[in-house]
Amino acid sequence: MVGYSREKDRPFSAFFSFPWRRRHILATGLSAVAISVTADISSDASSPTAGADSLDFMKISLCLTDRKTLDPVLGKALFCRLIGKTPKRQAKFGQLSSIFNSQPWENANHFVTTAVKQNPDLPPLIRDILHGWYRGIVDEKVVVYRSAMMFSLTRNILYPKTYANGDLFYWTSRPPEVPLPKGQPVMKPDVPESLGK
Amino acid sequence: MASSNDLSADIVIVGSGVAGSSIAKELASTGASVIVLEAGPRVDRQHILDNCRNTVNKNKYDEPYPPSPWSMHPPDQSTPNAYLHTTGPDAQAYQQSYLRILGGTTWHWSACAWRYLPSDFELQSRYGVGRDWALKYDDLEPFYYQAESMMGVCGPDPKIEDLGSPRRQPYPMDALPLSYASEQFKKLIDTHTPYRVVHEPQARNTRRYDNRPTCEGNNNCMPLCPIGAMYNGIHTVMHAEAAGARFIDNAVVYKIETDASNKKVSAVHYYDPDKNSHRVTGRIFVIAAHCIESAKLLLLSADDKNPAGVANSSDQVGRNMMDHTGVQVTFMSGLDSLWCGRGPLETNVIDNFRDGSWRNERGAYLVHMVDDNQIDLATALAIDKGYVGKDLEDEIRYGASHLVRLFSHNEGMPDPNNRLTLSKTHKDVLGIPHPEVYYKLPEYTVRSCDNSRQLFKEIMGLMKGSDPRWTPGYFPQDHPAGSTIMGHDPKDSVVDGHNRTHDHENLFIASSGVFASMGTGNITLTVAALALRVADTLKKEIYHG
Amino acid sequence: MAKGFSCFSRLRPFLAMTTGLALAISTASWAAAPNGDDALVQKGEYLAKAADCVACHTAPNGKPFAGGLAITSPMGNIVSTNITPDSETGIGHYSEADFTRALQRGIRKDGGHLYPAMPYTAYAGLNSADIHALYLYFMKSVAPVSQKNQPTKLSFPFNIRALMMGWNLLFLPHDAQKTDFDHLSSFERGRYLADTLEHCSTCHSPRNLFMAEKKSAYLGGSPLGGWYAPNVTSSVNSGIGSWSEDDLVTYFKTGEVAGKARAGGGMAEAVSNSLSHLTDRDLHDLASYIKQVPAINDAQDQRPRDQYSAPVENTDLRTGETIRVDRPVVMDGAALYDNNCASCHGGNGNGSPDQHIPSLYNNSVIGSAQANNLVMTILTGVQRKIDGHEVFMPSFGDQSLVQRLSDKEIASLANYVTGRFGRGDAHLQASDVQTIRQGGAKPFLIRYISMLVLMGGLGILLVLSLIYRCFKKTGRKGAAS
Repeated sequence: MVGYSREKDRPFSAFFSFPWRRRHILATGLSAVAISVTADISSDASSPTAGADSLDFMKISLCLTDRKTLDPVLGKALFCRLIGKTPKRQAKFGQLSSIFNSQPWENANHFVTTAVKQNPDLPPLIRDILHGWYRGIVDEKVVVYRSAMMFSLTRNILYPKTYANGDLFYWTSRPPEVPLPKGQPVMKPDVPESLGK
Repeated sequence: MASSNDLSADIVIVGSGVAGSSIAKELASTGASVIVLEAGPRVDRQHILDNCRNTVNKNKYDEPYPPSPWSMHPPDQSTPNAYLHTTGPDAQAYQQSYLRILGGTTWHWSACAWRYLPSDFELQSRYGVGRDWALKYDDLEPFYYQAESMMGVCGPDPKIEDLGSPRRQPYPMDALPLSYASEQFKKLIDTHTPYRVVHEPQARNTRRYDNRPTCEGNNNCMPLCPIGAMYNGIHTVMHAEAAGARFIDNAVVYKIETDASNKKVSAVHYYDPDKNSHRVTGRIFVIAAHCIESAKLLLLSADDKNPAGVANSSDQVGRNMMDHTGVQVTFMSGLDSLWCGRGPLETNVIDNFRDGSWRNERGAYLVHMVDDNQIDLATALAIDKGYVGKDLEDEIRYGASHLVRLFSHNEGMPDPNNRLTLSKTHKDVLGIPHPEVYYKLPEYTVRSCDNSRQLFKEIMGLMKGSDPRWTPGYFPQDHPAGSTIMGHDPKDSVVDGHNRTHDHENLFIASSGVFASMGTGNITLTVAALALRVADTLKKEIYHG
Repeated sequence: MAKGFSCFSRLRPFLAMTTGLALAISTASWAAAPNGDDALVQKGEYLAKAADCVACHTAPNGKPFAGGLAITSPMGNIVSTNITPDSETGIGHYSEADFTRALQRGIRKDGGHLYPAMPYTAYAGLNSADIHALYLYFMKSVAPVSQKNQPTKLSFPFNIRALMMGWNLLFLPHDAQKTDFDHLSSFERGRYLADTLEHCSTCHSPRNLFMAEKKSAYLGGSPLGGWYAPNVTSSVNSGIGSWSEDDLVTYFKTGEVAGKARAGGGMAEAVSNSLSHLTDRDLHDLASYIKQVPAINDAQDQRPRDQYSAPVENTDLRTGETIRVDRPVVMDGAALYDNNCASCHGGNGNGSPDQHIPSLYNNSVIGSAQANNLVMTILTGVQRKIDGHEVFMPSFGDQSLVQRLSDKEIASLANYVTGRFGRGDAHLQASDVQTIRQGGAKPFLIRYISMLVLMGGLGILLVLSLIYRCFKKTGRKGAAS
């Protein structure tokens, strides 16, 4: 009857949604409770392997984000949703871990470039991990909103929607200038053709 | 299926949105007895806010409002045909979003509170296209102001920015200060094009108003203002209740009953969620449901006396379905950082295309640079482009500070073939048919959309834009109108210039269904003004009639 | 004349701001006061502001001083009267002696007794020259408004106004200030402002069984119609001993001191209507006096009430599920906070950088041992307008247009907020919130009055009062010697 299908290109999810297939919007502000990862992330994992895996997950996450600290509460929740409860990712995660543990890495670019060269099937998992940390979203579900890491990058400039704690009429002030980034992507792009929205 | 017959009031209103609640408030304040029947439940802001934060895409603004089975509304824009079924060549352009809950659809809206232009009411006389309304701008002007005061509208000083709709009073509140991004956009457009950017009039507090707070810039007007700084119909519901009106929620009206002469409506019937039926009698009846639901109810009430439906001797009920149609592009600006998304969602407007001699062949439109927080889009894009680590974070910050979205509302046009009917295949849990709409975009609107696309390209050039992502096709703006069109002639219209149905002397319709043209700008203020004018008529009717 | 001039010079800073307009209005509207009286009228106006007459004698959206405000009291609502110089409905027919008697003895011109909602026990200390200035101001400068008084209807036996005779005998002081306002030393002016004009102790001193102020707990804090007027003695932990004089002056002028306290409820009104209009010098005198009020310590206060907690980040783990709008779940304190408070006050309670939305830690309302003011703030919101600058927080009470919270929800929310940002879970029950919503716990006298009446309590009261009176006299002598 009608010439559109939800799964394919959803032309009118269009208006305000963009047809990201797997993941979607939103998350929020800064994980200030960031503490040193290795600290105790593995301590409350239920099985010895889960403990080892979750520790690996935090170490890989630190590397993928080039950060020195990450929020362990969010880390635990992400590990659980991404890997622990999702068998389909477990094999891939094992592959990613073994590459990660094979040598020390200078930074995220170094690790991902090498990992993807060795195993071209890894980018979706790497992206899922990053969507989890930065956007707070795993498999089209919100894991955290305000605490998603992307908001730590725009702290006191752009607020998580519904949590604007700025000065009165803060939006009239001049925000900081952001220079054109010099970095390069290290994975092949996988961006939906049209943003839809 | 028990029937109770103990409900009666001077004024019986179907629908509790801006229209229904403002009539209820006005009439209850005079001491009249008022019953308002609302199909959906009473909801709390705090629960919707929690839902909102649990949704992935904050721009799918129906998602935080999962409907009750007996008051289905379109679940969200990416789940078409779950309740509102659309067909025809431009079916996707009519997948409207609306709510059926106490207070109505202004729980989520951008709060843009435009008055229509005088020409919008006289499209046929001035430009030879479309239809004229059965009233003129001047008839509505006092009620526009009453609506602005009721809702709390802020706007520019008309001496500095004349928005084209003559005013006798200034806006109740000072204009909302533009965001830095909007201010830069305004400078660019004002300086480098023949066009201008104006402050959008908005039902949003720039100071304490009606004991609600000043806007804090949560950038979440849709799906929900978390702090009540933006007007919602529920505020008027609460005032109406305080004035003595009785609102019955979860009351799904399914039939309008006329008396033996068929000149008057004698009762309406509703189902509660358990499908017990209740009959409500009254002196005057107002159908103030959503445009789609109002027409649905009239059609649903067909019987021997009114075989095509109540108030439908003209066969115009459900026809002339209109909307504003959207054109949209998101791109990366090449200018200095803008950081869109600080402050409320929609504050700036290019208003040069709201009227002009070209309206004899193409529709008017208005353009927003949407002040929408782009951080999530920037993040999703940067990750999917393949960045990681520090480079990813730099890319996110750059995207969040440079992504820009332009969109336009383009004017629709009444066409009797664009028609709402009752679905023959889909029914809700109460056995009431779902609405179905056939839709083909009028050429008038298509030409308007083409024109705004050209303008967007021009603006993108000015902004050294790159990586444009156009929203494919045409999409609805959730401003449906025309389903119970207004006119002087009972043969080709449903209501007269006072929103009274031609067929039944005590039946009024207060919804965007009565619009005879689409104009530009959001329809809510005009809906509210028309409703307040109906309230004025009803006061005369019950006290002097 | 001489006196007039000296008064003028004393009030110069204030007059410099307001003279033009005020004089224009007062002289243009009604018969010009003789020149010599002008300065006195100005003085009277200032004193009327300092005594905050307008707060009680003006109804919401009503004309100034025309009365009609219902003042909630434990005995019922007391409706304030028209004190404009309208001779029919106001006090236009009052002689200066009548006026003085009402102010200082709580007796109307017709002989009827006022209830002590009118702080005549404080005004009893007014100097006669100051009363003269007040009288001139009311008679010559206040616009007469013809507005009939609404009757005050209290429950039996409080509806018997004559009962106040006995009460006055016991609790009404007789020692008026000998020196007029202009000639007081700094210390005396501070005391006069605190005790007589601003009548601080009317709210901030606890009351005894007979609802008279407990002199022994002067400014030690007292419940007040659901609110709690806190301890403002010099106790560091229980009072405001940690505040500097400048902090206090800032608070009086603006209603807020960042990181310490913000005025809500009656205090917001006192700041808006009265304190913010005083001269800097008077405010310093007042602050300096308040700062030396003997400390009343409560051992359970481990630190000042504005020194609790710090910003705490938490991770907002979510279900990712939406709930059908007609089937809302019961929210716990954390969810209530997130969905009613965090949009403005922040997930971490920081408020805004400019603190137009205050932080919830370092917040005296939340760090207080009494959760009353937190509950009342949630119920009634905050509304404070000073010098055109408005501070507003919406109400979450039963008239709120934003969100109406139930007693149970407010209890959970307050417990969460005190637990996270204050001195620990306040352990409120829904019934506590209900009590506060209804104007607070009723004092002993009100709760047991029917029983007392049955027991022939009034007779007993008399006996008790005589004993009390003797005791009080002895006590005083003791204190003086």
